[in-house]
Amino acid sequence: MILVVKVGLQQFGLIVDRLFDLEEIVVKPLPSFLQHYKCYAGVTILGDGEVALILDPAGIFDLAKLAHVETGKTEKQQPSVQETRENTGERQTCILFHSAPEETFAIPLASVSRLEKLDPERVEQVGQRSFLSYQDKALPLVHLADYLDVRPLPENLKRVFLIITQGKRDHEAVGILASKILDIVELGVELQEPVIQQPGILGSAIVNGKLAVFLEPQALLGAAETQAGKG
Amino acid sequence: MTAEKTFVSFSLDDQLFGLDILLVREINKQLRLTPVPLVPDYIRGLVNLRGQIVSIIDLKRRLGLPDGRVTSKSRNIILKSQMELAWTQSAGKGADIVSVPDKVGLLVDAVGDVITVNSKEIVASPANIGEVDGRFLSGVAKLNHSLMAILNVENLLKE
Repeated sequence: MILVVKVGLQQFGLIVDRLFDLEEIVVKPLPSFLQHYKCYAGVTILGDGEVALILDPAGIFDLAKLAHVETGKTEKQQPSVQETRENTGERQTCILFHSAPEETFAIPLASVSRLEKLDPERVEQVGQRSFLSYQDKALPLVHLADYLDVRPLPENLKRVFLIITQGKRDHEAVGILASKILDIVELGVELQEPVIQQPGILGSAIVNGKLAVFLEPQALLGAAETQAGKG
Repeated sequence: MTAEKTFVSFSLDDQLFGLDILLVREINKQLRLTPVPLVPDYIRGLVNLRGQIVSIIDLKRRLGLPDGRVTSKSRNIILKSQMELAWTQSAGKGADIVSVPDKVGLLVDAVGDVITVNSKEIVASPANIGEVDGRFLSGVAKLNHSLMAILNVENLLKE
């Protein structure tokens, strides 16, 4: 069992054997010779008379020397983004992924419902479209190169990743095929004029030194459906 | 006028020790103990003594003697803290004794009699008695048939 504990901006998980209950207790001070053990905040006596030590999360954090662990939440951990003066100030969490290995795409986490890993053999073709039997339904798959002027997925991948978008009333959920999921980052980005002008592409920005094309799932799906209608 | 001192005697293995009776609050049998991780091994843990948190020190471990087992004869000698001792001292007794700041109990192998000794029979302790560090001894009392090492509790909790 893991207790997730917050210390300032950081979080860590505490492995415990058993959880009992929430209790209101009276905190008694530690004996003076225990006071330099920063992992203990005090002592209490439980209802059955037993003595219990009260832990101090900040003390445990220091004791475990967790300070240098990257959590992605502190100021230092923000990925380097080329930010212009007129930063829109909107911060968004995005998934960075590859379709073709040299091209990085970003999609807002808010539009993603799940990430899955799968064996390419499971992809089924019906005419021009690909599907996956997923949770007793046919999930339409989107191969980015079929809808955008981008390079295709590499052949002979041992496994592909699926970025499954949120299904809504007027849009089905779809699975976007990726060869690799790179990272999930929080970005406050000023997008530059789309290098590629196409529906579904919001714009682009430099993330961690590389160009990332930001996808707009709704428009992409809209275009995908239109195209499917034509096909 | 000869002065006398009264001691509670106790043994660790076969060695006889004495503790000034003014330092002793009470003597208990084995109490339900909560161990404290990360502390030195001579701190056995904490007990609930009528609503107060008392730390139990394994005296054999603290004095550097070989470890033994806790038996049915083992006892906890609960000491008066320095604050409690101050009450006694304000009444004019035990001015020369120093206790510990916290509520502490000493785990010993067995408790013996209360022994009153003439001050003349108490001599300064040698640097060490057997394996016991001289820091923890404040003297030796000559009894009829044996020697009783007198415990100095002031340094028990200091490193």
